[in-house]
Amino acid sequence: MYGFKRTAVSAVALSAAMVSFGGAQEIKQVTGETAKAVNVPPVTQRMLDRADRDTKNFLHTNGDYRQQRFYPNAQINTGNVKRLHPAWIFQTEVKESMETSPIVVNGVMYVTTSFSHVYALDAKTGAELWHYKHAMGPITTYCCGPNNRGVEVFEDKVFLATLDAKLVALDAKTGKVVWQSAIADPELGYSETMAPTVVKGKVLVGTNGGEYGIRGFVKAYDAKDGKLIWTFDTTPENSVGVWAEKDATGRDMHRNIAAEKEQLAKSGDPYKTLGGGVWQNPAVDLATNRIYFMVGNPSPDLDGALRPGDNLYTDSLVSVDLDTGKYVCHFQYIAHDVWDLDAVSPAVLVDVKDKSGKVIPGVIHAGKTGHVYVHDRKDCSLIRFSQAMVPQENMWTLPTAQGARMLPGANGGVEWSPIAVDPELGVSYAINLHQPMTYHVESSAYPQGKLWLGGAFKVIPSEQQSGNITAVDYNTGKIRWQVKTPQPMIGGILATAGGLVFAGEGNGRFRAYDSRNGKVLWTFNAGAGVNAPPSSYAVDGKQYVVVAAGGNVQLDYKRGNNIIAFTLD
Amino acid sequence: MRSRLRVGWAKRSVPTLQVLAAVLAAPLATAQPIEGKVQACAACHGENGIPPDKSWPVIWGQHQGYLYLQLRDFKSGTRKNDVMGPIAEKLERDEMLAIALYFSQKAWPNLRQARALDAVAAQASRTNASVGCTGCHQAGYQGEGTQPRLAGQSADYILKSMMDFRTRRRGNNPGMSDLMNATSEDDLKALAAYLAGS
Repeated sequence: MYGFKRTAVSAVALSAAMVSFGGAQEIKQVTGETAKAVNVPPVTQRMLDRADRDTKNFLHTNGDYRQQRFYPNAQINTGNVKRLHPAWIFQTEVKESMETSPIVVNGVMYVTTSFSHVYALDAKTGAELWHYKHAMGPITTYCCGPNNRGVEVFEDKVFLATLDAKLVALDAKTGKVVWQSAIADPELGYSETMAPTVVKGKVLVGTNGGEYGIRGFVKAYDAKDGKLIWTFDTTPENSVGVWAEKDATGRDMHRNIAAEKEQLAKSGDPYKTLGGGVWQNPAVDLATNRIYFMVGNPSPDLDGALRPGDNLYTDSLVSVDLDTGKYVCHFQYIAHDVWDLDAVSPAVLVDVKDKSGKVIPGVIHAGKTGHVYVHDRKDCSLIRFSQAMVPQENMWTLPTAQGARMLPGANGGVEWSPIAVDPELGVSYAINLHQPMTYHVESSAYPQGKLWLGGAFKVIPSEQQSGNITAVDYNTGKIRWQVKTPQPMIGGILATAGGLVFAGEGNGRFRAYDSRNGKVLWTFNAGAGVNAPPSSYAVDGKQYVVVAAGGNVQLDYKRGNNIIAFTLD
Repeated sequence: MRSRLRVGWAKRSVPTLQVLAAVLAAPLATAQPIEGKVQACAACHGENGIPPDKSWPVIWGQHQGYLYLQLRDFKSGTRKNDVMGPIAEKLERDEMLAIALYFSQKAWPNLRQARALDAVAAQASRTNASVGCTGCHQAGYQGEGTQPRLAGQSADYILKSMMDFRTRRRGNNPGMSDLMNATSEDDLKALAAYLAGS
């Protein structure tokens, strides 16, 4: 219905051909002596709803509203993946950390770079169609690099959230700004690196800033004009909670509750600067009209003395109503976190077995702790947690001024990297870090829009680091298989109906694995860190896999500026 | 020698600095084009962008967001300096942003500092791997937005800043203080030498 048509015409013919037909719009591009016209039909809500069955487009950052990152096209599969080779490589203007998930709509690809640039590319050839370079404000405050994780396209607009905390709607055919809204004041520590999620006319976006003493939120904007519809504050005015002494797995967190209560009486509820960033996209349950998202660490990261209480809803899975933004349920993994082992990797909706073995709507999350947590979607309650995917030692040793060693290190486990699932196999795939660290605490007042860690995390240089890809049976919590990598992994993963999972490494390797056993089936060296989630799509009946190779700021992996699309010979 | 100069400058020169600050602050306070406002800055930060004293920072080519935040913090007193405090006190936000923009658009000067020895560079690299300097200061320590460029900054100023963060004498970024306290003095010296010669 929304077939992609790309017609090579002469420049003269093109100038006369800038008309819309069949509801589609045209992109005009002049490269050297050739000119091209590309149809960009509007992305409808129906297309977004059915993205899980779409073997041609890649419409959501995490594949579909459930965020399963399971691509239903099986043309590239275990039998032929060894013949995968680059179809094209596009080099962006910005050579810096890349975390973008390419979005593909009828043969047009939208990718982003650090510093909030957007490119529209011909997904078949890699030719540039347009380039949006955000006019960045002078104040940007962020913790882990000037990253951007991508866009979402709805109707005729491309939606981008920027490093200087703006929400921008671009014309999908030209890249020109249609509207722009200020999300929050960057001088107070707010910034944006996530891709927005668009559903039923609303643009949903969270915020960074857990390292800056912000008050976190998820906001919904009107896709038509950028007007704010609702705000859900991730730190409620009563953030104290139930004084939980054990984490989600039942381990004692060694809280000094008496001291916290004394501090609460003195300083009151700390919700205004309590952090609680939402780094990644919410999952959308279209049947119940609810969204599910992860709330990050409390501020300051390592110093709990200034923020008595459980620090709700930091380190939590939270669900709110899509229409109103009203609270539905939450589950907190670590109350009063002082290790930054928070909840970042996006929530995934999938049917799971409950404790009695009955299949129910579930929601799963892979934590920095290294566990995959499995929840009942109805009330957010925890059904089970998986075996640890990374070494855990000395949990929960409190940070000290001199530094206390505890594993996992503060990056995880699973960082922001989205996981994938294969619902038929009942397996989740997560990429992990193993970075031994010491945790240091040092108390200081909030420095107004400056980094506020309350101490430091320090990698122990003498200890070996590594990474892994781990497949977990989420109906039992058991690890099915694990493949170790020489470096900690960050960036994301894609599973496909071809029986494959694709993931990249900081050393430039991009690999395809057999999703049933982790066997390496194909390797490509991208020349720069592959630390972004892969996507897949098809043009003219041919399936592609695409990934960004730009390295990573947080782990200082080799920088690059490549978008690389692969296809079969 | 460098260390003695830095400490001595701060301790001994206060009366002189107060006079200097009063003189410099006056022209900045009046309504005038940006060139007039920034003229006084050259006394310390250099006519050609090269500060006459090595313990004073290069601000030519530094990022606007960072320069603005420092002026803001000098004004609020969270960063203390006997010269800059009185100057910033009279500035409004728009003026600070304009001054910051002016200097950010200048070319970064070459201080002709020696490239660090390989062993020193390796030590600096290990330090970065441990506390993650480039997480904020970007690849090549070029900075961006509110994160300052460190590459090619004066060695004396960089080391003084890191040590001032360490002792919390410089109090406008406790996160930096925490990171500097988690790093040995020897490693900080290696970092300063490496950054200066970058």
